[in-house]
Amino acid sequence: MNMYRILLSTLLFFPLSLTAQVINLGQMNKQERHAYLVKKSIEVIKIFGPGYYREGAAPIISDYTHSFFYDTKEMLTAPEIEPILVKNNGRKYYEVICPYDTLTERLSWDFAAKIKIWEDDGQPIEVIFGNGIGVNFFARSYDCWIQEGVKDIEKIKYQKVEMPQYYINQLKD
Amino acid sequence: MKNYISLICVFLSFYSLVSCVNLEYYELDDNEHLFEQNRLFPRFKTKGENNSVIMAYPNVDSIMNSSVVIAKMDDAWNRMINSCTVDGRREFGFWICYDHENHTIWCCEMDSGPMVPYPDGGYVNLRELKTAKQRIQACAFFHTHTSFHLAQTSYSRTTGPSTDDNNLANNVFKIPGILYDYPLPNISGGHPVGKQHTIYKFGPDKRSPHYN
Repeated sequence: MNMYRILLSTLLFFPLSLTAQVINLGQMNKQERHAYLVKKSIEVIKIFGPGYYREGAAPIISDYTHSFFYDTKEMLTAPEIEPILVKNNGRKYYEVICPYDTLTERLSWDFAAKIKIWEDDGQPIEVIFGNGIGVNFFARSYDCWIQEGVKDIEKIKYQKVEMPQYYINQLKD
Repeated sequence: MKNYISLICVFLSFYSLVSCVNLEYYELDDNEHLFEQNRLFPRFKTKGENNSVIMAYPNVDSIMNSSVVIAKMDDAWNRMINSCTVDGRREFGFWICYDHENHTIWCCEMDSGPMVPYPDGGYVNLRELKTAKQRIQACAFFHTHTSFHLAQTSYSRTTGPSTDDNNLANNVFKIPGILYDYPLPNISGGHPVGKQHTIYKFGPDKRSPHYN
């Protein structure tokens, strides 16, 4: 009897647990979606490039449609992830740009982090940090990284721009 | 009325005569083919005045079309590709100068950045221009970004001139910047090595004339 109860409850709750994992951002209202994107972005930054996390910086959120052009694809990606990129053509995603105070800090790029997140499942696609380097989740999914753990050596190092002193004066007229 | 017009004519003739006497006008050589579009930038020298020699510089398109520069940029790119290992990669770059005496473009020696692992951003600090001649002649700077063909597929890199590259060209050096990198917007680890890079120009079109 107990076995039946366990089986019954498993059958009842299995679909619920599945739907709990899939978060469709397109079905959320703007406020909920914004909150999710910010929360997820902070999570990604803290895991892959903790040096680039800036508390209180208001992120800029935009929405795009993934498009992978056939004519340039060979130049951009590894052969094993090309089919994944092509398969995802037409999928909508959000881009969250996390700024930093450019008056007090100088990074190679004008953002601390830029995170892309799919609309239909809320999963991160790619994160690029202020030094221009990032991690994509095409070949190895975000969940896979989380389950296996991210080693310190795999994290993107915090780097600010350090200009040699002689750069500033040598070409002044 | 006629008197007024005559007076103005006399004044203008006198002024132009004085101007011709006081100014020595140097045009670029007739056989100077590199800077066809820069023929409107002759050098002037005013007699008896200090700080008056104007040295004009070629624009970035002329620099990019110079065979000397193209050969050196290709060399830098090949060195960058050959220096890549599974552990890291390095950027290469050099200053580009314009010799005002001979109207020729020449390149300083190649500089290379440190070997950096793939999760780190690459960079190259170009050498200090130590002589006054080099500082006056510097007309552009070039560098490469790096290949990710030996990086893990999970790593990505944004391509094209960075905010810092633009800042160097526009605000620090105030001369054109030239970059070899892959096409926009980004690359991921493990991309094919033989794929063609592209050339980017950023910053001003040319260095402002130098007053000696």
